[in-house]
Amino acid sequence: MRKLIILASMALGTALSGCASFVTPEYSADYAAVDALKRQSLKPASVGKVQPEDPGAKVNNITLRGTKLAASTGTFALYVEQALIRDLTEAGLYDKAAGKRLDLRLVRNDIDVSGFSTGEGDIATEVTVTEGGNVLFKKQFDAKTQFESSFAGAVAIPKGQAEYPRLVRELLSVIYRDAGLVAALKK
Amino acid sequence: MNRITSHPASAARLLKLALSLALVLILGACAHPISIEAKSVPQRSSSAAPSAKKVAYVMSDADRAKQVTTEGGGGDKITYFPYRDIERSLRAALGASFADVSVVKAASDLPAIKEAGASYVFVPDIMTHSSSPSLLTWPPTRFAVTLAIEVLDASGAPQTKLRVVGNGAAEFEEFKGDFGLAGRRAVEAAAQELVVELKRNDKLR
Repeated sequence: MRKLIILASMALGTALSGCASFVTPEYSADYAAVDALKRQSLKPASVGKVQPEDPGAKVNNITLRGTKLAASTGTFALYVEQALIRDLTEAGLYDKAAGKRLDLRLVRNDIDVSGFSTGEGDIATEVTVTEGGNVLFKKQFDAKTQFESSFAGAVAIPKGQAEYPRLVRELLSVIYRDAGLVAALKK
Repeated sequence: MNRITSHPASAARLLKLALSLALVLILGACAHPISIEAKSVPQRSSSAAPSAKKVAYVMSDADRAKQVTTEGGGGDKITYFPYRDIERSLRAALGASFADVSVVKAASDLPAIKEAGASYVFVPDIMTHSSSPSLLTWPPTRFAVTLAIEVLDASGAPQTKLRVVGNGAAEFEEFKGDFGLAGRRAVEAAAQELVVELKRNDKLR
C-alpha cells in the first residue's frame, strides 16, 4: 500500500510539475564564513577541477520524485567549483596562478524529497590542499540539511530545487571554518 | 421504515470524491515555492574607483529564514525567502561602491562592526509585491522589490536613508521552469538602482 502511495505521489508530482525542467538556483555564500576567512591573512590559492567531471557520475545526477534536477553549470561538480571560486574571490583569496591549490572530489550529493513532510540534503566532499607536489591537508567534509516538504509534488520538487544552493553553502561554510584547512592555507 | 443499505459502487464514488476534495485542499492550502535569487549582480566598475571606505550590512540568520507569501496567478500564492535570496545582490551593490563589505548579525553588534572596520552600517528592510493577471497559471508575471535601507555610522548614529524599487516582469512563455523569473528581474533591477543611489547620495562620500 505504501509503495502504491509513493508511486501515485510520484506520478502526481510529475503531472503537476508538467514538462518543466528544474535547474538549480544561483549559489549564495555564507558570507559570515567568507568574511571570517577574509580576516585570517591567508595566502591566495588556485582551485583544481572539482571531480568527478563525468556528467554520468552518480553525484552529478539528482532526481526529485522522478524529475531531473539539472545543475545550472552543467554538472554539480562544476557548480561546487564555481561556488568555491566565487567565495575565494570575494574573500580576496583566489589566484588561478597560485602554487597552492585546493582540490575537491564529490563523494555524495543528493536531495531527497521522497518524504511527505520533510526533505533532506546530503553532500560530502574530499578536500586536498597541495603545494609543489606536497599534500598539506586532506580531509572529508560532510553536510546535511533538512527542509519542509510536502505530499504534493508541485510543492516538494521546487522545495528540493531551492535547497541545493543552501546545501552547497552549508558544505562550504563547514570547510571554511575548519582550523586545519585555515592552517594549510596560512603556510 | 427507512433502511440504510450499503452499495459498493456508491461507496467507491464517495471515496473518490473525498480523495479529490482532499487533493484540492492539500494543493489549495500550499503556496508554490520559488527562488528570486538574481543571476547577474552589480560588478565593480573598472573606470570609476569605489569609495575607499569599508562598510557592513546587517543580516541575521532569522532574517534569512524569513519566508513570505504573496500573490501569484489564478488565485494561488507563492512563497519565498526575500532576505536569503537578495543578500548576494545587496552585497554586490555595496561591493561595487565601497572598498570592502562585511556582514554583521545586528546593528548593535559594535565589536563585529569594529572588527570589520566599517565606516557605515546598512540596515535593510526588504518589501516585496507580486501579482499575475492570469486566471489559469500560478507563477507571478509582475514583481516589485523595495529596499528601504537605514545607514548608520560605526557608533550606531543614523546618517541617511535610502529607498530603491526594482520592478520585474515575465510572460508565461519565458518561464521554462524558472517560475521566479519576474522576481529575479525585480531583484536585479533593485540592485542596479541601489548602486546608482549609493553614488548619488552625498552623505556617503
